[in-house]
Amino acid sequence: MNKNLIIISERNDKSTNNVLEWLDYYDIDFERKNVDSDRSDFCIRISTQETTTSVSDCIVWNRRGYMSLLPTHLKKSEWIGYLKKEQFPVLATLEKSNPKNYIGSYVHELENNKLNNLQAAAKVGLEIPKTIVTNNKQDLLNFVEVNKKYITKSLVYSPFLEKKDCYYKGNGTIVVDFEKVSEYFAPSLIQEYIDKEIEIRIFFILDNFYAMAIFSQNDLKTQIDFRNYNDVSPNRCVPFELEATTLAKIKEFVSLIGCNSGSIDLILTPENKFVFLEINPMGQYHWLSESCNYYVDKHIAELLIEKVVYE
Amino acid sequence: MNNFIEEGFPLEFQQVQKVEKEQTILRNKKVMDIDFYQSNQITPQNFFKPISKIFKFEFD
Repeated sequence: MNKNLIIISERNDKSTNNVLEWLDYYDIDFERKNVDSDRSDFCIRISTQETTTSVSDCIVWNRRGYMSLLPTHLKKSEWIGYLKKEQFPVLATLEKSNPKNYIGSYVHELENNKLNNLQAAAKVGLEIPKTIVTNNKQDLLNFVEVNKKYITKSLVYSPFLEKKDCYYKGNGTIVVDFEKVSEYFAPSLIQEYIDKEIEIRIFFILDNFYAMAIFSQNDLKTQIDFRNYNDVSPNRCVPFELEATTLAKIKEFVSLIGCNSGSIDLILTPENKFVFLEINPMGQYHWLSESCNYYVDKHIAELLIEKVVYE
Repeated sequence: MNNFIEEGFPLEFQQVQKVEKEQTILRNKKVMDIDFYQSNQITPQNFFKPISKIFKFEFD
């Protein structure tokens, strides 16, 4: 008998829709739970012998967001911050009770720690940019070398603040202007700027890795960070075959941090070195799949089916 | 905007942009239009119905 297939996502996620169309095509039943619309019933039973949960015997693809456990009307409550925090250990337990059949992770997304990830990448032998995290100018000046460029980016999320008449938003990765640095500041991540031949985006799910080369270096808008997308003249993106040694290190890295799906950003330098930048546990792959004709949606549907039917 | 730096915000705030909501209002207008069609249940299918009737008439 087939296992139940649960897909956790957001209402408007295009990639989820595409995968579900493939599941329909293959005539496989599934249950979609959207974080922004549905409340999901759940139960966790803990005894001295074992822990069982509502998803213990299911195959779960946590594509985006998380399983929403609150009564819908409470989502607008002024207590929502508190209620979400109370929900977190439940979500973590649901995930951890079924690690083999739980693909993707909201817990990883929430706890994604760039500093831990850099350390893990270095541990498996991947090159990483020289990095400092500090809150004062003196330590920063002791770290930097004259005539070198340095970038800064958020430790977790890019700044965003909405007000009545305007909003403020960060620019992603930016080059540090040392003349503007004050003596003391909130903790900031600073890395040496690395020249790139190309940037590489890798999407992975279980043991499937899809890499794409992004020619972002020749466009001033995307030179520092390809995510400052140039919609008028988009970067050229083509399939990229990672050489075996780097791929083995990447696999070791994702195993070390315990992540079974996500997107990884690398730089290939003019000296042909691969430098790890960061990992996003719930990254988008639609752009990569379409640019490279990888048919990732179809592959995801097929690997979910393999789990549902044969495991 | 410079206040962010003087006040000791993270260095990433060196390039935080302030975006006036004028553009957003235009976008909201679009969303409202879409909502209007959705609330009146005008779908691509029934939106083109009159045209298909004309075709039908011509074929008849």
